Amino acid sequence: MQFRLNAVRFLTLTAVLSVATAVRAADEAKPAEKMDPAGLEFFEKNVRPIFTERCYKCHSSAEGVSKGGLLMDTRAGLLSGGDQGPAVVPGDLKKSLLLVAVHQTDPELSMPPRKEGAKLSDKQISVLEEWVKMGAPAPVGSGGAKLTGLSQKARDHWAFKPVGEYPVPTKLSLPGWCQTEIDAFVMSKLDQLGLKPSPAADGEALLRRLSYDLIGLPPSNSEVEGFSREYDTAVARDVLSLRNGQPARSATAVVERAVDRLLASPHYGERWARHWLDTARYSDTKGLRRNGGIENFESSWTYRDYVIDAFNTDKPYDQFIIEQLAADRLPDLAKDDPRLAALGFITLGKRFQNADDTIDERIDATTKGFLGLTVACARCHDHKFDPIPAADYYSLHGIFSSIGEPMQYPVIRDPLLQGKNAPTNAYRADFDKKHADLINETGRGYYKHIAGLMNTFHKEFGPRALVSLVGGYRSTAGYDILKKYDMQENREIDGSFMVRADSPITGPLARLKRVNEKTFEKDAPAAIAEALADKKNPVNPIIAEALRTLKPRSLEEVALAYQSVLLKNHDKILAHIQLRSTPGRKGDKDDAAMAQLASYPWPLPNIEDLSTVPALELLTEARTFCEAWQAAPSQTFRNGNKPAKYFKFKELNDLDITHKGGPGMAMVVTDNEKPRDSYVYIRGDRNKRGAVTPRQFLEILAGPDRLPFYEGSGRRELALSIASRTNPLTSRVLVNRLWLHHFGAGIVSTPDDLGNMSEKPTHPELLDWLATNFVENGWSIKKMHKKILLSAAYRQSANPNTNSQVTQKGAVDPFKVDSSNKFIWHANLRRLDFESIRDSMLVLSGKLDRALGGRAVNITDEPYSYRRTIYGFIDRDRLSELQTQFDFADPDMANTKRSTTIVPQQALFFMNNPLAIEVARNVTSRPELLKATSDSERISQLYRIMYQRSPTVPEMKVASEFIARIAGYIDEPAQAAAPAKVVDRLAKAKEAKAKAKAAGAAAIAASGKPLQPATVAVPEVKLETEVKGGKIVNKTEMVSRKEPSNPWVMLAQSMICSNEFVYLN
Amino acid sequence: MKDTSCGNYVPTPNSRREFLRQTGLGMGTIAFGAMVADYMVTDAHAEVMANLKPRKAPLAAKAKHVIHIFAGGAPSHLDTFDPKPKMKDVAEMSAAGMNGVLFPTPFEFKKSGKSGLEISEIFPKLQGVADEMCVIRSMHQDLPAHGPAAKLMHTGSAILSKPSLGAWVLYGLGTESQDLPGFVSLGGNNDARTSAFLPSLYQGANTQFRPGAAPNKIIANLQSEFTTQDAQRKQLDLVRQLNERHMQTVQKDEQLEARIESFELAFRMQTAATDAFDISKEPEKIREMYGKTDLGAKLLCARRLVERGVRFVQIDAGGWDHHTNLNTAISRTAGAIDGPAAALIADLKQRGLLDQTLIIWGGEFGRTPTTAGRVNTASGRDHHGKAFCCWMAGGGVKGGMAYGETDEVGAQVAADGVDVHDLHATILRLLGFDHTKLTYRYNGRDFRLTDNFGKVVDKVIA
Repeated sequence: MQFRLNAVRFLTLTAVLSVATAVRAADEAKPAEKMDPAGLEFFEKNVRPIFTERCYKCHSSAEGVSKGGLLMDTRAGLLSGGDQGPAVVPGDLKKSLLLVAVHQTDPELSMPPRKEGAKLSDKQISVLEEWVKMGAPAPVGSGGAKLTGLSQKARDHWAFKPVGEYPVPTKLSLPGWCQTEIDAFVMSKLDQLGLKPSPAADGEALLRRLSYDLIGLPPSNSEVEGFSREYDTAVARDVLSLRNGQPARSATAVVERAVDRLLASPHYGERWARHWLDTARYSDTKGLRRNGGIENFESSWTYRDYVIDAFNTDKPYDQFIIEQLAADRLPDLAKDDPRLAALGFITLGKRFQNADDTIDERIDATTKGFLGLTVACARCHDHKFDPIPAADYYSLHGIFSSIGEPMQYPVIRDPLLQGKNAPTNAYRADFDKKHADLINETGRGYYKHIAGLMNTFHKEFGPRALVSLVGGYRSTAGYDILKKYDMQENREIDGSFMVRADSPITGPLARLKRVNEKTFEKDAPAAIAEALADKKNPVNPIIAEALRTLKPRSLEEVALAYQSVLLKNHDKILAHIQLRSTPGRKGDKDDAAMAQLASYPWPLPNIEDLSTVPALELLTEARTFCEAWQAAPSQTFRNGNKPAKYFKFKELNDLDITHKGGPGMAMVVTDNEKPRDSYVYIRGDRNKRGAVTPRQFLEILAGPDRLPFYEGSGRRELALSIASRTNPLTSRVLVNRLWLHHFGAGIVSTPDDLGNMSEKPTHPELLDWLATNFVENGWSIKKMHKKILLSAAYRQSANPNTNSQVTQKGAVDPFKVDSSNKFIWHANLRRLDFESIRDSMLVLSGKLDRALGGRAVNITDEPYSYRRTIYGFIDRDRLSELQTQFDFADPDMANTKRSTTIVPQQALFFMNNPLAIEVARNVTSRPELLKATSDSERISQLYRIMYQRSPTVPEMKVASEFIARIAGYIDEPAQAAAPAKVVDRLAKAKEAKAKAKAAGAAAIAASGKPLQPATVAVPEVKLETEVKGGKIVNKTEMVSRKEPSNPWVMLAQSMICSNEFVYLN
Repeated sequence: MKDTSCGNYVPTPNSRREFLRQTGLGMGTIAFGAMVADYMVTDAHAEVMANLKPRKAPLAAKAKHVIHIFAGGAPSHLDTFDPKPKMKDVAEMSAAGMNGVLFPTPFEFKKSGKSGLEISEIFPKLQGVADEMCVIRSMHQDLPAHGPAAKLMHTGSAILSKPSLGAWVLYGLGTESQDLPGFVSLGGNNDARTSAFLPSLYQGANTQFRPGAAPNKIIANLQSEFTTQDAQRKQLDLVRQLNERHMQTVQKDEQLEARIESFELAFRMQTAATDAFDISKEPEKIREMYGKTDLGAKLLCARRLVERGVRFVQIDAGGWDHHTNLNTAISRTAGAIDGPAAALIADLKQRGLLDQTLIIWGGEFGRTPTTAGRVNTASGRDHHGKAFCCWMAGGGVKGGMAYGETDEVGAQVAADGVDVHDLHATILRLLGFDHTKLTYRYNGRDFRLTDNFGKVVDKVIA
């Protein structure tokens, strides 16, 4: 049927409706149909200019803005409209929201916005009306031009496809090179590109690489020597084997022993937990800073310890996922089960005032963290690139809005602070005593504070009650009353004074308020009588007594009568408050009426009820207390300030985060009793509700036949859906991250996004093979490490100039074919991350504190801690300069991959920070150096300590020259400085040696048990901290400024500054 | 990301090329011209170029530096730059939809300069430089709570963690002095200087600047307490030797070279930054001109930094939360910034730097036209987001003008509304950027300072 649009012009209005439908149908059926030229001309000449001038700024794809979801530059955009519906219904003036808007009769829907200038002129509006009547002819356009991920193309993205089963490639140019299946996949790619792998790195470089990769610390010099010897022999044997046509496995066997030893080290967990904490956006603070101080989580560190332990014990990854999302729903759960700490994954994210923002943050962390999907992009609209409709976002929203946190977190057995590492009883007792003292002091302070305010309250009750009754002090009458009684005006009390009809104290006052002012004197007694006779809301006897015979002429007299009751009984009231603060004395038993009066306007529990922080906080935070009378004349409660001298919350907080005798708590969530599905919020606006969405998994992963979750909030089912063998993302995401941390680049370059916007995998078959192998091996991360680290691909030299194609300058130039080394024809040169740099400095100085777990310390400021960097306090609002300068991951969201920037401030740290000096001093005080008898021996020792190798002849020369030359530039000559210090340093060194011996024995004990949970006895957490100026401060010593400079210290520091120290090759 | 048209991959991150891009400094032999050409990263994240070398903005623009004076606490527009003379007639009347009674400003406004720009008497010195100032009277935002609103002003987002204005500017333009940080924050919280997901070399350097503080302790680790500079020079020579030996055994690599260079820059920064922060080196006359106060010192320091090529200086000049006693309190707060700001404008002008330096003054929102209770000396104003003001000077803005209008009591924007994104878009335009094109890809999305919003206020651009 050929439908001519200009015919619409001649139809009567009644007919228009049906025609409009026809037009739409026609449009949809034949989107490319040509518009009537005359109609289009009308549009271009009369309508388009109005749109251009007044509308396109906010509603056009040309401007890239579609406010309210509306695009006006195509007809389809106008017809499909925005969030509120079609902007134009051809022929229908009433249903066309465009016209409703320009008439500006509906305040909710008025356009253009007032601030953008005047309303359209009547003439302009009539043009638009005529145009709509004509059937709204306009260029058709593609209309649904909005970007959307809900397309088949987006669904066909590789990452949403099941993990493929790929055979290990066999036709390879150098089959003898391959040590694991991984190598076959890598070589297959290299063959395709005509590239050759680089030769293996030498033993020194390889062990250093393995050691940093697995435990984040350098190997000792003796470890390097031992390994290199074995490795070099093995490599030689392999060459022979290959020549004889036999498989070459000797070097791999040497590497395997080293890998097993490192994987069994308790430091392995510390290294890999840090990677996971980047993904899990771990922080010790809430990021919701209202009052200045540390807004810390009560017990965040238990989650960190849980993660360290999970890696050390090689917890199967599927289990790791389930515990982090739903540990509270594990079947065999003990009350103090350490696994409860896993729920910190949910709770330790940034907190927001608005609950929906906190939920959003959790959805973001969960989906990026486990699935490599940016589901949070679908909060306001369907995902622009991935097949995630907004409805799926709100399915997850329902889950996370159906959970809460208990008042008191459960005390758990920290997985790392057990046995010998557990705090001693003396510490526990000390904590318990200090804690109880602070609680008691706070409890008693509460009553003291109330008693202090009571006097003022009683004096001011009358006037303030009146102010409240007449509508607050912002009213003229209220303001006048304040002035009359010479009272300070305070914004905060406005309207919150509790005069309520059902109150035993103010009930009669509330009733009298309703009495007509003009006939007050006549009607008041009846109102009083009525109030006193109310059995449902009995009036307090003392108040009743005072009012029974009262003949008030005005409300003011009633209020003043109240005041006089309060003043008359003031001492008795105070006595009652005192009773409450005395253990075992129940104030209300003695005189119920007085007790009731004493509890107004503050709720007054007995002191026994105040024995926990949450109870105290609840009380002081409660609206009835803080808000109703926060502006009492002392003004101490203004703006949420608690009167510090009475309330010891800060001290309790400080005790919690510093005292190692305190209990570790799990930062758990629990399911709400009545879990609820969420509505879709249109454009993310909670006031605009769309359809209800069931709590369920993502459609693209669970399929169209997915079933809604029914068990509590659905968290456990969500966890099971993620930790599923059939989930195409979970295993790929994890093996890709392991790969990233071992090779310096992932198979997919964006570890937290495998969606449509991610780069294609460099080795898709390998990725899938790894994912399959990972799941088949029981989701064992340690086994996957081994698989990767035993490969020949990993073992290659980081120097591309050693590659045969480079040295031989053949036909293929690998730099041209693959300049960025995507296909792994050599290893990548990698800079150590912040943790590895600092930890190395400590370990080389011989001072590393090898204790595991426990409360956070300060790892960036003087006085310094010698604990590993993972134990540093992380304040997401105020990351230390050092952390940010060294590319620490932003803990506000999942950030698995760190950037590696180079700025002069990093150099300033190595050059000038006291820690660098202290480390250099400690290195030169190590026994190896002190025992050395010549400069060249000292230089040799320094090289072995710092670089785990011996100096070359030219290096020896450079260093000796420096020692000789620098002496002239520092205060004291080199020879004089050393002896003076030696005695003192020797004593210290001896002590350190004894400690190191114990730790070393532990490490050796561990080395024989590959892939076993670390059962090594590590030293107890010793370092103590305190809170000063809103910061955690270590109780250690400052670096001495008096100790003179010394050529050896300067040489050691130079080595800390050097590239060799911070790069892995 | 995607295959490019010629079928090659864009390099993976962590490749040598990305290192090359991410290494901040000292690229020595690398040709920069080629990289500078595509400052914007709209086409995939192909050439994300993380370094601090100066680059030319893509559009013609005068402003090369920014001094952002953040008036935290939310200054009243009605008592500063938005005169409402008719309000006197309706004093103490109530106004629909507002609590309290109308509170006309207790201050006189004066038509200042040749332009006749009206400025309150609490800024007597700024009145003297009115012809350089461009006041925007039609600012508005939706969230009159200090924390989120300040975050919005600094980062374009009230809630999420986004890079600050200064970080975007540094990302876009690099910096002219490699011996000094390109973005310096003289006070202010983390929001004001964060680089969020931008590489951390774009973050503002935190400083402990206050008058009288030792200039060599204003940036952390700036100078050694243990070694003399001479000895340190010898030490760095040794480090260079060690590094050169190291490079022979590994490979010649841009990131290694960049790190070597960073030590030389750090060494120079020790002197350069110490010198830049040392305002005692200014002639007495100039120090008098700025005033020997905290803000006087900070603004003078800002000028010294800009003069030395620093791209963006962020200053915290708060204290504007005048809920009560506005009459006396706002005069005091205004008095603290009036002299220093006027001096800054005049001083930059006399040095010929005003044209290329954009000064921005403003808070996070405005204040109510009403007061609680009665109008008296104790009266104050509450938070109000629907109308507020800010001003800019230099950097290619039109001086001596007021843009936008509020209604007769300053409660609502009446014409030419400018929201925070619009302001940001305008600032970027003044620096030579189309705000829709200065983007950074992060987690699969191209982010910009102005999110999906923002329109340039062309009329304030000279």
